[in-house]
Formats: sequence, C-alpha cells, structure tokens
Amino acid sequence: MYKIWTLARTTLREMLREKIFMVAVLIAVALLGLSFLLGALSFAEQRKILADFGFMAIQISGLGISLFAGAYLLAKEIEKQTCLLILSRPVSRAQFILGKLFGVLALNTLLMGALGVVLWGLLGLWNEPKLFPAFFEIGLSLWCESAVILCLVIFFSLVVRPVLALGAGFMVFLLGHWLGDLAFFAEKSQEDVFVQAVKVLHWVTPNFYRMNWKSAYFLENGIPFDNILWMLAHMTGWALLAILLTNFFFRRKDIV
Amino acid sequence: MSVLSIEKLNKTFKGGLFEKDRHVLRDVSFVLPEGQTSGFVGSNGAGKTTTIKCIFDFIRPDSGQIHFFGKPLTSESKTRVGYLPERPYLYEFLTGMEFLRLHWNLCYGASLKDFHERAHEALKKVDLFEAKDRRLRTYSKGMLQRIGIAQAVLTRPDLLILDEPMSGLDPDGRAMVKDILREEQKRGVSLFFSSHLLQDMEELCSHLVVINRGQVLYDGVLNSFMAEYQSLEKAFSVLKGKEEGRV
Repeated sequence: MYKIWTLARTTLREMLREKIFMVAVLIAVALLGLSFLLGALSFAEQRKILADFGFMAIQISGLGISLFAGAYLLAKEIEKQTCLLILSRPVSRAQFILGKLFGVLALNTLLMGALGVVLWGLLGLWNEPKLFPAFFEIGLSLWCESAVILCLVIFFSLVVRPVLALGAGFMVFLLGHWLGDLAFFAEKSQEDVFVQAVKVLHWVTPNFYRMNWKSAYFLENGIPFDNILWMLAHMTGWALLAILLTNFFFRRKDIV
Repeated sequence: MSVLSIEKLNKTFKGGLFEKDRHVLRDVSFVLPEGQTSGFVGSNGAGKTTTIKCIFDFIRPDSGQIHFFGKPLTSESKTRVGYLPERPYLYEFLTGMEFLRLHWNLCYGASLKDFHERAHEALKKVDLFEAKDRRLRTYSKGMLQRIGIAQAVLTRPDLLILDEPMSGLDPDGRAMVKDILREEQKRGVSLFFSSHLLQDMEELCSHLVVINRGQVLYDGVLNSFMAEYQSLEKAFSVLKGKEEGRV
C-alpha cells in the first residue's frame, strides 16, 4: 500500500509543479469569476445563475484535468520510458497504475474542493448550514463523474493515441449527459434503429444524465438517498471496470 | 553460483498490417557469474536493450527462462538488483534527493532508516552532493546519467545491470562512470553492462557476452576470447562475419 501512496504523492507533486496545473486553476477561477458577474447582471435569479455557472466551472475544471492528465498519464511514462526505473523496483504494474491514478484523483479533489469552498463563499451559504448536504452531494457527483472519465481515458490511452483517448473521453462525457434526452427523442421518433441504439448506449456509457444535480443546491434535505446510493454504485462499477481493463492491457504491454 | 541466468529467450515483435514480424531474440542464453563484471557487446540493434528489457519483464518474451540468484524475478530479487536504462529519462520535476527517496520508498516502504546515510554516500560517489536539492530539470546530460547511477547503487544491490551507461557522455563523464563501476567491483558487486564500445569492455570486464542479430555468439571469459583473437575489435568482426556468412 505504501508503494501506491509513494507513487500517488509523486504524481501529485508532478502535477502541482507543472505549469499546466496553474493554467487549469486560472481557467477555473476565471469561470467562477464569470459566473459571479453573470449572477450580478440578473435581477431576480442571481443566486441560481451563480450556482449553475459555479458548479459548471467546477465540472469543467475536473473534466479538463481528467481528460488531459488521464490521456497522457501512462502514455507519457511509456513514451519517455520513465516507468522503466519505477518498474525495475519491487512495484507491480497494477500498483503503478493505481499510484498514478490516485495522484490525479488527489489533484482533482484538491482543485474541486478549493473551488467548492470559493463557490460556497460566493453564494453566501455560510449562514445557511442546512443547505450544506445538497451542496456537498452535488460536489461529490461532479467528483465521481470526473473520476470515472479519468479511469476511462487512462484505459483509452493504452489502446489508442493520447489525443484520440482524450477525444473518446470527451465523447463519453457528452453521451453520458445526453442519455436522457436521447431516450426521450428515441421514444418520440418511434424508429426502431434509434431506440435500439439508445438502449445499447445505456449499456456502454456511464449515465451522467441521472446525476446532473447542479441546480439542486437549494434542496434543504439534500439529494434523495436512493439517488446518491445509485450514483455511488454506478460510478464505482464503471471506475472498477475501467481500472481492471487498464490493468489487463498494461500487464500485457511491451514497454519497447 | 550465477547471479543471472538466461535460457533460450525468444522474442518476436509483430509487424503492422503490411510489415513483417521481426524476430529480435533467437534462443538467447547466457549465465553471469557472481562477483564478476560481465560485458554485453553487440552492434546497434543487435538485441542488447531488448534482452535487458526482457530480464526486467518490461518486454514479455515469447519463450525462455530468466533466473535471478537461482529464482524467477520476484519483489525480493528486485531489491537485490540495481538498474540504469539506456536513456535515463527521469522525473525532472523532482530534486536529486527527492528522486533517491522515491526509489528508497519503493524498495523499503516508509522506513527511512539508513536512507540519508546511503543517499549522501551515493551522491558523493557520483559527485552530485552539492546539486542534491536542485531539480533534475536543471541537470546536464552527464549529471542525469550520474544521478541514475546513484539510484542504482543506493540500495547496495548485489547485481547492477546498466544499459549503455557511458553512451553520449564526454571523456570526463565516461572516466567518472568507469571509476564508479570500478568502486562497485571492489565492493564485490556483480556488474552487467551493455555497450557497443569495445574499449570499455576491455578495460572493465572479466566475462563477456557477444550478441549479433539477436543471437549470442560468445559467452565466456574475456581473456580466453582475447587470446584467441588478439583484440576484441578483431574478434567481434570475425565472429560477426562467421555468423553472417552462415545466415
């Protein structure tokens, strides 16, 4: 376990010291600032607009880190052969993958957590602690979404080039969010091919549509427990599947 | 006892859609005696790096057996082996000291007992003690090679495997690496290093493995090899000629 922790700490250190992380933070802060300005422009729904755009800023930051870091996480190690020295030590390939993965997850947690605190402050919610559970659950759903995308992109990067892996990850993100709308249109169109295609998509894409709770921060009792349980199970399943597939392919990969 | 034995190693890289498969290792077998310095010599593309990568399981051989200290590669045997790859691309965002600590933690976990003493010893050995708190990004090529050697000797391994440790270094750098290897020899470490520079072999080795086109042409004592052919350069070209004539 300590080896995974050592690798995760090193990966986190790498990300924090690379300039790309600072760019991600700047973009996230700019988006949060923009959401604050947009909220201020509105007469009636200031808080709602601020919350919507604020959570979207957090989502984009997490997604950006997952896509870019995930696509190059193993590919860069293999291309630059920096993994050779690590794997010559008593470290298995599975431990290596988990260490790298946890490093990026830690970075996402730090970034999304910090942005969440800023948004909480901008929304002025410190006087309304009863809204904290819903706020936290929305944050958790965004974190889970970014974690699943990260796991999938790492897997994609082992079978295709990093740029394609990045594109595939973004496509999964979009499809995952469109699943509900696609099902609705398929039902209305009554075209068999369309209906069957959407059914297949439900099996091969994580369902992000059902956990899109960004506008629900005002719910005093938080998100229904059943929904949270479903989200945790669904996301854990997808993450585990992606990690197992990554491990399967990486174990068989020749590092030439 | 042998520190490393390789038996009938074969590896073929699958070609692309319109490419032929490349059979890069053909029944490669050799044995490294304990406490000696063994050279692994061959032209560029002869299969030296692929063999070394197979030894560490970076590349999966199609067939063959590899034993460290009489056993297959395990976590325990990995702690007894130090390794330096051909191009030591390292984590450049780390400082020299952080880099050594990373490798220490991967071998011994959280325990830092002896770490500072060993790290300082290794850094002084490669003349990088003053640069230990600088990021690797600021190191020159020679310094990177030396910090790579420092991590290889950090855990005081019984066997050191170095892939082209002197390639691309200036004369001073090469002399320094040779001095480090001689020190390790004195400590009784078994050394195995690859090179296509025959002079390095003559200076440092007592045992030799010659490889050409993925086949081992010679595995034995350097002196008897030299006695037969006078110079390593001549021997290498004669052996290569014989082999290629056969092919």
